[in-house]
Amino acid sequence: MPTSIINHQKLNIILILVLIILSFFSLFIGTVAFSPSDVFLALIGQADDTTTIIINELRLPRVLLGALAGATLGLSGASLQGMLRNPLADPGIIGVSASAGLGAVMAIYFGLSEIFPAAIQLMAIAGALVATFILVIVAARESSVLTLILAGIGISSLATAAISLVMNFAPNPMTLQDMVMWMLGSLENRTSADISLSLPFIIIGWVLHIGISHGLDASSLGDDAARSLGIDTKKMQLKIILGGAISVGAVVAVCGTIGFVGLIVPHIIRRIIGYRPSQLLIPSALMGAILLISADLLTRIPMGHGQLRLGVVTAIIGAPAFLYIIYKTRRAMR
Amino acid sequence: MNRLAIKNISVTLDNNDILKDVSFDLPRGKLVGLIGPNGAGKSILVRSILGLVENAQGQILLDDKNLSDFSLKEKAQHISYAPQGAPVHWPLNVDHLVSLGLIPHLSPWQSLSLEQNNLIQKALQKTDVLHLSNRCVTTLSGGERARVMLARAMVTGSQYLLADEPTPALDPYHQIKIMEILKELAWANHGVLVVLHDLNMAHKYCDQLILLNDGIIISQGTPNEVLTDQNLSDAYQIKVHRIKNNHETFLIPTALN
Repeated sequence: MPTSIINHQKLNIILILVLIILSFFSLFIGTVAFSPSDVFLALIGQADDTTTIIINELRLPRVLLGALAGATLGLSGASLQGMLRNPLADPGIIGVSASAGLGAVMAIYFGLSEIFPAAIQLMAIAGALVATFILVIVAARESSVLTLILAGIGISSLATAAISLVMNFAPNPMTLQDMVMWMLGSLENRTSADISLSLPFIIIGWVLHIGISHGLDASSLGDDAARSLGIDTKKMQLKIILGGAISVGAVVAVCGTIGFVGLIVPHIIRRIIGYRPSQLLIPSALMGAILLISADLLTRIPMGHGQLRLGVVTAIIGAPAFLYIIYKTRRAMR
Repeated sequence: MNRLAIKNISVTLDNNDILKDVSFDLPRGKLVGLIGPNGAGKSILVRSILGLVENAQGQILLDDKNLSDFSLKEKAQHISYAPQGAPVHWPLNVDHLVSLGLIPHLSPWQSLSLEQNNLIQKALQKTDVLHLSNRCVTTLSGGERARVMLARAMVTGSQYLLADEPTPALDPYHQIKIMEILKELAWANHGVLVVLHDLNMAHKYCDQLILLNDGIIISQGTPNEVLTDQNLSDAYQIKVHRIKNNHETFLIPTALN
């Protein structure tokens, strides 16, 4: 059944075009409406001051961050699913998202962000790095793929429990609300400062994913067979875990926890180009970016009270879509 | 000498001696059968030869060169491996699956050349599954799948092939097909080691046999030298009834007591 509809190069070109059009479109959607020419003039610095500020300092960072975050989640989801040979894996399963969340919640609890503006983000990155460190120790030992998944679940559960503990003792309702809002994820009011804080980690994470293609494909046959094909499986696993943890940690640090993108995107791509793990990487990154920017557009729809949060949108749309896909692919995955 | 020389392999896991001082040669041009009862240590011996068992002691020489001096990739170019059970974790297409056998010849960025695509076709042809090349591996029967997995191991074109039970639960026709493919590979000057349970297949097709029991080689040599009443009763706790027909001997096993 799963023969590909189109090849992955054609798919990449289509996805890049969609991403560009969608990004441009999302620049003129918002409380203030702009014409395409206003947006274009602002981008080249020729528009009036208000327009330039709204486009270049509010909406552009938001789109860029959405693309970076979505791409990171999609890439990491695809590589983790390939490496763990498990279609249920996503960046959340290795415990990094929850640990980054714990760092952020602790920063809010101790009021660190009032002392130092980037405290939440930095604490979140620190939380992600602690989780990464534990995972790398587990991965570097003689351990199976299953052990890694279980260790990730363990770290994730512990971090989630600690988050609940911190929330439990939140000093006042305002702090608690800040924590919950942060956990729900958002791209709102993100600035170029958020991008410059997270970009180095995101790039390091992406770079670590270079050169893993053959290893991921060979892993389809199991670790023994992959090693017999000349793949240093241990090194590959370390690169994927470290790369995923660092980049996803940075994304969670500036956007909050955004579920389901990393899980669902590889499944969408498999429906289009088939199951070879190596060919899912770049399309999954592009599709992740598209999905997150689209979800962010939905959060701009005015609601009765307050605003729809990004993490809520991705989960509300992601979960049913996920159910549909696993229903459609139930025979192939047997 | 053109051979894989296995010298004094020992493996201890959790204070249990799994393999004790195992030595034998796998010459090019020969089909060597590795036989023995369940739990004798056959699979772990094959995995030790490939360097997949972390605390295996001993030495492997490939054409008189120490295998531990080879990089993972060089090793993969010289020895290919068809693991037991042959798991495939994604529903890949047959031609993609077989193409994985060419990874040892690719640099990280390289994709398959036209010539390498022809190699895949040839391997599929040799194992008689060319007509399945666009099928998904999850839709194959046991016999088809076993031949596809063999094509995957053969496409590498390495001098040595280690196949761990390539005929699991196959009907007689498909067992014979697999053994004939391996035999042809040996005739084409490859060294082939095959783990087998069927004594008649071992007797009929293998040039040499290695009988492993409790981690020790209790006999090695030609099939007639190895498959003696004494050896079979020692290793398998069976006696065999032998039927001679023209030049062939058939072994019918019965339990000892």
